[in-house]
Amino acid sequence: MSDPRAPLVSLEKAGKRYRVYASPGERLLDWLSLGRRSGGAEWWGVRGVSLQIRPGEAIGVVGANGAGKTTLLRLVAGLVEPTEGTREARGRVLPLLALGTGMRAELTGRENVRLAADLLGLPAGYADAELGRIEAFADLGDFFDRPLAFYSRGMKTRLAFSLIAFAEADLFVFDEALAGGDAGFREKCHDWLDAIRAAGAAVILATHQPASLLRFCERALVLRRGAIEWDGEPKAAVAMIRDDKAGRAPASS
Amino acid sequence: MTAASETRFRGLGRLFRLARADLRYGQSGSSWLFFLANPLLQILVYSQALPFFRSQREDYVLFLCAGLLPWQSFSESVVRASQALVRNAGLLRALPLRTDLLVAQSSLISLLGFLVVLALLLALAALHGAPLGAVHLWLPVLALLMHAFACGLGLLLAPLRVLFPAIQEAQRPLFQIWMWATPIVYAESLVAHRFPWWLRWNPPYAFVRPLRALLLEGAAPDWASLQQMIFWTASSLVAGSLAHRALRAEARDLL
Repeated sequence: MSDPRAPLVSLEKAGKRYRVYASPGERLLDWLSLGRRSGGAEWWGVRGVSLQIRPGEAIGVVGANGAGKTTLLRLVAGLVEPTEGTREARGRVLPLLALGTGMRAELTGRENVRLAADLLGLPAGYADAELGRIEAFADLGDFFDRPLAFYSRGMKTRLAFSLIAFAEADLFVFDEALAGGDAGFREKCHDWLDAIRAAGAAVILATHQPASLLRFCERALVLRRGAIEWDGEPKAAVAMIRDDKAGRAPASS
Repeated sequence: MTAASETRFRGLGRLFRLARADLRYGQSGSSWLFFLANPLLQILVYSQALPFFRSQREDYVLFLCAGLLPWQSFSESVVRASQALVRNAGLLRALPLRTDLLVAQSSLISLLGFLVVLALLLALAALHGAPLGAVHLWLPVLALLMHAFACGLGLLLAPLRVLFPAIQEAQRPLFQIWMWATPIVYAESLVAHRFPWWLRWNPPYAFVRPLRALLLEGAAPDWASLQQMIFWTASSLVAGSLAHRALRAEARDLL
């Protein structure tokens, strides 16, 4: 029988390398030289990352732009394969790296819920079964039956977040997902996050907002230049980010 | 200058800056070359060659449609499949979707469109007195084989299109040249005695010829034609899948 506390996702010394070329022609020359010429530059999105995410954990990922937050989340979600190291996963991972993925401007909110639920791989019948609750959670009024093209950014965030609000997954992966929407809706999302954690799901979210980090996460990862510089308490991580310019180290680990 | 006209002028200026940026950064040098080659080629061919070919056959309209429409469906299927990753870049960035299935889905849509075209062609053939019968049940089989062959090419081209954007512009003139080098708008007899090897080793023609024979003469494909089609389809799918597997990660990184 499998251990219920076994990690949902394990990264072991994982790294993701990108090869960057100045132009497609340079890439072609590289190919034609059969590896003898190396015109492109190597860039590691993340490197040497070891991480285990267990059921019920809430992990916040912080770091400056370009620190590797999105690449780390993509590795965790299985959207990219590690160039080096390993990734192991069990259970259902639901990546929400861009709210509104798969939604189309010409379709109504209701139609988009059905379409996006299919694309996200949610169980067949999920959209129809939960449509009433999704509509109530989004709280868009008449706009729920109007084309997405007429939605504000905040309304799109509401719709997209509501779509997954009743989905079942072992691990939710968010990238700045809570940045949109008004204060009332954000609070609703916070309550939802508390509820799914209480139900045993794990959450990993990248954020620039210290308040979100302190509100939900019991563990924080501080990324710098593609490496985990700090893995520990969120308070210390927030202090570390604030003290970053002064170059001070965190008080405890 | 009034405030309204000034606003209009500034809007126009922004439009020009946008167009300039598009021209400067959106197209590579080779893209421009292919962009110009395509209309020039069409002007040359339609003005010089087409009147001559038309004089060669009495049923030229049916002959042309029975060759041109399958060819167009084939070329559009390849082009569409090759754009499958670029077209779905947003989804691929956010979801663990299989890239080969996106290509296959694109080919399937092209196949469905072609089946409708075949129904129209069959009606046109009947109007021209071609005999209709059970032999025409071969049509969807041949259509399936042709689009499976196109899918194999799409599997190869889809990641290449991401890595080398000029492929998009190159496809149009290349398919034009390929079409004119194949007996689509002219009779096979014009080239058969000089370039028999080309007809044998030109894969799309292996599909267009039996399709045309079926539509014009109600002739079922012979065993040799079927073998040839199966060979090209299997080769294309195997080679395309292997290339796709080797290139998909690099292409995905760039999306």
